[in-house]
Amino acid sequence: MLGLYNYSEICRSLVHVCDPETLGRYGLTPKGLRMSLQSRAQQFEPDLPVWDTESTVIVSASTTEKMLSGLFSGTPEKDAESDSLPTAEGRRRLNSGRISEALALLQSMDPHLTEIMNVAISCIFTGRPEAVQDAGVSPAAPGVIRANPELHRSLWETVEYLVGCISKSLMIYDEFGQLHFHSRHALTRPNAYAQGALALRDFPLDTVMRSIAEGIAILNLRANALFQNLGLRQPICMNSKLYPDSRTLTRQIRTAIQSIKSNSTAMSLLSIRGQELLSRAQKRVEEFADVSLAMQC
Amino acid sequence: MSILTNALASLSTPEIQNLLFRRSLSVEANIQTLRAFYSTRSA
Repeated sequence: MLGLYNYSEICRSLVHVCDPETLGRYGLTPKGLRMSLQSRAQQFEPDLPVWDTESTVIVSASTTEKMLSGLFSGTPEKDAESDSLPTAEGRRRLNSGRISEALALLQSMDPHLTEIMNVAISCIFTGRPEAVQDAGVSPAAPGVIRANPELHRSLWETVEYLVGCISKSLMIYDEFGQLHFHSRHALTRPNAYAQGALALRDFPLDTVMRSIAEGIAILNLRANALFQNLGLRQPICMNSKLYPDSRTLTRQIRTAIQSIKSNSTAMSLLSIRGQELLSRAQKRVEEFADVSLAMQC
Repeated sequence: MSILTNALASLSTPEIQNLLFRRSLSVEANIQTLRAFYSTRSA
């Protein structure tokens, strides 16, 4: 969603899906919006915890972390942690510190995005080291991010990771308001698959659409950071190996969009909102193509 | 004023009524559709 819609449009999309009863209880305020989005998430997944806070929580309790990991994987998390308890605590503290640092950088770069994150993202938890490869966002747990900043991941890479996750989470909430596809079950048929924008193989259409949105969010972030760097004495270091460089990413997003457009079965599954997302992505990627040379990352 | 406070303040009375009544029903229906799909998919 980030880079496809402006912040006012994203705010409206969030307002339109919030739970009216909760909003009535907390009032028409950012906190009311946050609480009412969590109510919606809980209607989707009753096991999700609700955080009565003003902003995104970084989960520190191991029991909550295990429970959220279970929701992501679809199976309960095994009890036996491979690392001993003190090591697990140390890892959690280290990861939380790195996430906080990345969120502070994001806040300084884009306070509006932080505001939106505080409303839409209920919590961020850190998975176990072996879960590093798993997705940071799951449609099974709306508003929850799993972040596992590996030791070799730079501050900027953690920012990119979080922004990609926020964008995908906003897309999940957007679908509560307007479905992106006519038939969910037809999405699982291989003839409706298309090529992903990040991992270069075929995926179900919903996964491909999320990967396109994630790629656009990264290009958008980099373009904003590049613009901000012009006025900074100490520019933000934007080295990243987490996502492809901007020229490659632009090319991959174009290929993914083309892969959908050339598949009549996939195209027929897109709802009006789905078509709008695709057409906005196509327009934006061409705009980013013009500046990707300057981005050089 | 924050971008969210602005967005909330810009809601007109008919929009709020729409949000509270009609729209909520379609959101609930969409949540049920998505829930049914993703629970089958991860099974």
